Amino acid sequence: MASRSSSWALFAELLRRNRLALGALAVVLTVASALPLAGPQLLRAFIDRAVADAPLTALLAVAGAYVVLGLAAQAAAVATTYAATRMAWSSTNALRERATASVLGLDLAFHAKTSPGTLIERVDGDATAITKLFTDVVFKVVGGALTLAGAVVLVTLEDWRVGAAMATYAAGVGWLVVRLRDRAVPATTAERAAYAEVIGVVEEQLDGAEDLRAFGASDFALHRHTGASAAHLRAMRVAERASAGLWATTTGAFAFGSLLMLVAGWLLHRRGAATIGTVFLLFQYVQILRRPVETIAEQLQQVQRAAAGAERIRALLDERPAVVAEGARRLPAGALAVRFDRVSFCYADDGRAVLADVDLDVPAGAVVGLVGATGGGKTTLARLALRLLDPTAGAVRLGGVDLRDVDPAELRRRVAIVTQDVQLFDATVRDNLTLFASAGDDVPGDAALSELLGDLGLGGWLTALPDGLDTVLGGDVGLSAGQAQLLAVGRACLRDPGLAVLDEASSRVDPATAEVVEAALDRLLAGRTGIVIAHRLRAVRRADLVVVLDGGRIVELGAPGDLAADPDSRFARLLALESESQEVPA
Amino acid sequence: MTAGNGRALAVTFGAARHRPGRFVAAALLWVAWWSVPAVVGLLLQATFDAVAGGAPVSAVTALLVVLAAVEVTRLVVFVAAVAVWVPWWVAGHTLLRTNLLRAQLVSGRAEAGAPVRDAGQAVAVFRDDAEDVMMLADGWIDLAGALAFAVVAVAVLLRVDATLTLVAVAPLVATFAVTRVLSDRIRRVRRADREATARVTGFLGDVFAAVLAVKVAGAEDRIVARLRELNARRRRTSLRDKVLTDALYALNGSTVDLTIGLVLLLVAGRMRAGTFSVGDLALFASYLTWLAGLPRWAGMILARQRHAEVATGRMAALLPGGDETEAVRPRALPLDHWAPAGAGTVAGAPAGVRPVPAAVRLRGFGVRHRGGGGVSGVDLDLPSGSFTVVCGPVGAGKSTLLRGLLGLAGDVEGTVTFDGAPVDDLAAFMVPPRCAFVPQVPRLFGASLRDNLLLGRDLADEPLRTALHSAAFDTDVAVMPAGLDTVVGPRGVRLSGGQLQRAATARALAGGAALLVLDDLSSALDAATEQRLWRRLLDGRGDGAPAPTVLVVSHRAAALAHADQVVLLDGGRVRATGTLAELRAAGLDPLAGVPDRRVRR
Repeated sequence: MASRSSSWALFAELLRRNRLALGALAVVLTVASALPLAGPQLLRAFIDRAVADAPLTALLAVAGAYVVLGLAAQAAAVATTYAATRMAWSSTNALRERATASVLGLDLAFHAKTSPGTLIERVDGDATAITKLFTDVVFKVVGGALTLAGAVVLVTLEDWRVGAAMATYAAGVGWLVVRLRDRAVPATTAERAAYAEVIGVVEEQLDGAEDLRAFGASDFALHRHTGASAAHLRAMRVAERASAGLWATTTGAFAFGSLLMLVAGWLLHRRGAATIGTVFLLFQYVQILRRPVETIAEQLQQVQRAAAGAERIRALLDERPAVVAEGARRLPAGALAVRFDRVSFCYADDGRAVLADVDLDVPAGAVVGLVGATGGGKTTLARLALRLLDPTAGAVRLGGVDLRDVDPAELRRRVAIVTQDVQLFDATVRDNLTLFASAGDDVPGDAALSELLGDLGLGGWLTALPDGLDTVLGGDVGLSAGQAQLLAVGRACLRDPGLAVLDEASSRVDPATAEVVEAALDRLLAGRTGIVIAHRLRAVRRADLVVVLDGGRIVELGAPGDLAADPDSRFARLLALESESQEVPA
Repeated sequence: MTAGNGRALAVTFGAARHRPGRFVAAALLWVAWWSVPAVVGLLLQATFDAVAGGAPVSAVTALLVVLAAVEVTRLVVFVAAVAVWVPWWVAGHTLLRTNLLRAQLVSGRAEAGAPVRDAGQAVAVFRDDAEDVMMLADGWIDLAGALAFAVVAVAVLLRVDATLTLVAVAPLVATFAVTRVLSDRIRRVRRADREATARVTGFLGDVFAAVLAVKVAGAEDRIVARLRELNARRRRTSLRDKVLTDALYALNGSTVDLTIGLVLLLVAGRMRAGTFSVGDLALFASYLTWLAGLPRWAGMILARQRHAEVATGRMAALLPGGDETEAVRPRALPLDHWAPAGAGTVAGAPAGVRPVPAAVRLRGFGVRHRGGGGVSGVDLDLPSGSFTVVCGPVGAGKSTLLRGLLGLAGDVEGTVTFDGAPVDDLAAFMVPPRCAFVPQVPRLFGASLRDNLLLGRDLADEPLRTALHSAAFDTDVAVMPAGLDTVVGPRGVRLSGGQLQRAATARALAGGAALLVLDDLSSALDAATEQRLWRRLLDGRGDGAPAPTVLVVSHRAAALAHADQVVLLDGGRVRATGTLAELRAAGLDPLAGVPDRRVRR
């Protein structure tokens, strides 16, 4: 139950933040709910006065009021929608932004086990369920309930017994509709799933169309499609039977309710307790109630979905990063020496040890190459140097300062990484380079950016773009793997870091592009400390120092030339293995 | 009437009459359902007049009982209409999808439509466009019902008071016009809203994929600021969409209020005079509530008409000869008695008889891609039982040559003879048992492994197991939970890239073929498995059974070493043909060329 209450707490918090808007909304909502109740009163007044030979002007006044009030009611309904939608989006947009900030604050261990797709679903999908809850459910249900209550009160004023009967009947019908809907929902879900299966078969067969054509297997495939469609027909029969039953029950209940009200009105009229106008009024109130009762029953299941979404977002907001950024110290200027001081690391969730007792000194301005088999700890070691992780034991020092004491903003300015998979944004070249820096941020102007791209070998590419730095990447404007990597090097160069980490930065590109990338990397590393992670050994050719990692320990360390010359060294053996596995035969 | 209009009507009519009995029965039931409120209105009129006039209890009771009976009838008609309608609805969809799918999957030019470029996008045609056509057919039924009600209602009201009726119905015409304008606006606004939503989710996807870069650069705040901009835009579009949609509903409600108000204004005098009764008022109120909904219905059906036109155009592009009526070509669809056993048996070789290896000859053979490129001027002889390896740099046209020979790619030129006989329709001809193919990235389907290997062919388990062994896939199958009955694909066991290639090889080997075509077989295999696969494939050639003629694309030394001939392609043309030694002697390295993988953003 704790989680249930936490989702309500989140709703309440979102509403509290928009107190003013909520107040305005409450006013229009009340007006919009009350106005439709006036219609039957006016109709009664009209009929009774007409029957009683009231002056014509009085009748015309009532008729005019009916039109005006009717239009006002519709206008109020639209105004409610406007206010509710606006408030819902304002509050949930803020929630989306908070959740995104929170997710970005979490460390890489979290991101490793949570796919971007899942995160989009959490941050946007669940927030949208809450938006829908506010726009479609809360205000419609509240509005419906207000109209319902108003109608009951007004009918009770005519005759308390009829009012009580009406309230009971409406509650009974509401309960029945909810019950039946609960039964119809699984059938509808099954029908949707069966249809999704049909479309899945189509997609799969289109995707494999060439295989099917090559094997003359169209009859085989079409038969499967017919089979999936037959299953869909079966599921749809069940689902439609359930929803037709639901509709018939609701409609039947209201038709029966109208009849009952007609009978009640008739009986009152016979006893002289009601005018013919009142009989008409009672009948009209039943007609008015149909919409609210249906809406309430329809939307109740949405509440559950939104509550589940809120719980998940709440959990996301409550997730705490393992790396707590609260240091305040600054780093020395220029290239930064890196020192791993008896560093161990194991993952909190499974206790798996990744690094054990690693001692390593990288002097300022030196380049160290990390090599070794996958799972040896290369990536973890590099991430520790960037403080994307904190060591479980020991300390990592940058320029002599323990990373845990460094001001986080300062640290981000002074380190950079270039990875083999470069993720580009669906945004301008400028935004992709500066990662959405705005005019106020401390970034170079367009001339400097163009010059940088030129230096990196992207000058020709840039001039060919339709809008230069303002060209939006993605869609028609693609980049090759090499160009994307050059752009990533550009991102790193922009910030003039004291430490740069290169993770397999040139392994994915063809030799010609690789040369350009290598040149750009040389430029990045000049005068800076570098950590280079490499699977292909040629990537460590620029290293001053090679570290061979295996099972989370440093098993070999030395200058690349020395290690290569020693036939017994692991490095030399790795070199030999790599030349053997070349594809081209001798 | 535009051409698109006529096309949509023809296709919709074809889909509607696919099950004519059900269509007519459903239409009649729905028309009956729509018409009942006309009766209800008349009964309400009589009841109110009876009550107001102090009629005897028996008379009022009788009226109320009849009213109840009519309402019950309406419910029964509704349930029956749905029951009749559902099979018609599903069958119509299935017919459209089947014809579209058939044009994509059939081997043979005459019956084939233009192939789709992107399966994911094309699914929209199969799902949404088929739905759009059926929605129009369904809309016709509702239109008939709504018209039936409107005609009865207006006729009844005219009898009560002609002027009043005209005044009350006039606003409906205006509402219809406004509805159309508003619907157009809503459509545009909704598109903008979808775009704004896609911008937000797309941006979030980019951000979460680039979380490492964002964190290292300390760009978190800037990212959130950017999200705030995109969010604000989405709020604006969503607000506009929601308010306009609600305004359309409000318009409907306003029409009711307005028309009833007009009626009140006009009848005030006559009601005083007693020439317009309370019952008449009840009748008008009841009918006008229903009639006010008609403009929205009419607008909806016009919108469906428009959607169906677009849908028909898109369907035609994928159908043979661009002829949209192919979408509704009648087919027997066993939806009510479908049985898995009835798998269509593909023309296969009689069990136990292996096909004789083919001699294939290409003269002046070429394949033209729609977007340019391709191969041309290829003269190539594949002697019966020979082993030919095609190599060359990326983009040389190796896969295109293979796929062209199988009738799978572009328009072909030149001649292909198969055992001396010229082949007209490569796509129809190059299927098992004449030809079997292993594509570069093979696809399996969400079914049992056995069904995937057979693809509808009628083969016993024994030749299947031989094929599994030859493809070096037998050990993988041995550890699968249900062996050959294991379900593979998205909802079953997920195969690795290498397993997929070996499964596809087994599929090609099963039942034998006169010509075996393999496209870059080993691209997803580790070295040891690759060695095993080649050994078994090539050793199989000496097992006494006739080995097929083999044509492969490969860069692997293991394949090249066994080649009877090597074909070096470059820029879509044959640069050299000969044994590996001959090519090397001519100073040509068949293994040149380095892939430049382009990233997709």
